[in-house]
Amino acid sequence: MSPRAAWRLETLGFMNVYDYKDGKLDWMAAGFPMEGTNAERPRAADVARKDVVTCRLDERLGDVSARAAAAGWEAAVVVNEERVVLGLLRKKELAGEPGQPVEGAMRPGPSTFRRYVAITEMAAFMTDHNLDSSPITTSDGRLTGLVLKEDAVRVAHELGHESEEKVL
Amino acid sequence: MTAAQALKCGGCGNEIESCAFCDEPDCSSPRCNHCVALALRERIPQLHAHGG
Repeated sequence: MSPRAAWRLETLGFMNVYDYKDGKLDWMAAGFPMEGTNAERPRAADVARKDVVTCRLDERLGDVSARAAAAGWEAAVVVNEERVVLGLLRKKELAGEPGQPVEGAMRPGPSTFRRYVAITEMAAFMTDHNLDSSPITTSDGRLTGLVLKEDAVRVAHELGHESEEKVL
Repeated sequence: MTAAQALKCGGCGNEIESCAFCDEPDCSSPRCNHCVALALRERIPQLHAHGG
């Protein structure tokens, strides 16, 4: 919360008050608990698949492709030892020359999205851009999971139906 | 990329090298990083500067 809000809470008698200097968006991106009217809305982190195949820069592309195929994935995320996202292998890259290292085949520095992004907006963007998967990370780039378009669209569709039922 | 081929953000009109959402240089609805962040509410619009 803001420093002023923290000071105000102390005047109201709250004794255990902290100023989170990186701000509310960073708090949400780290996956910390939220309250309020929008807190229950499904977010990218809720829908992201955590079992996505990951690999290192120096692995052989053919090995990663085989691992992804065996696990039913058409994508793999390239991470370092801290699980920070360095690159992305989508279907096209996974089909590359199998003998080359991952580093030479990957999409370097792919766009990543924060954990708290509303899934309805994510679904709309992924549909508009015809994008099958998007990596979700914390603010410091650590992989949370991969959102698949089919999952995002399904959850957004279910939310739409829930809203309609509430109106009726 | 020549000037004639330059990609422009569909939100603000700024020239970009590739779409900040899908990373494709030939995206049909390209967006810059700033416009994507605002649309996905990864960034809060700063309407005015203040100290609080």
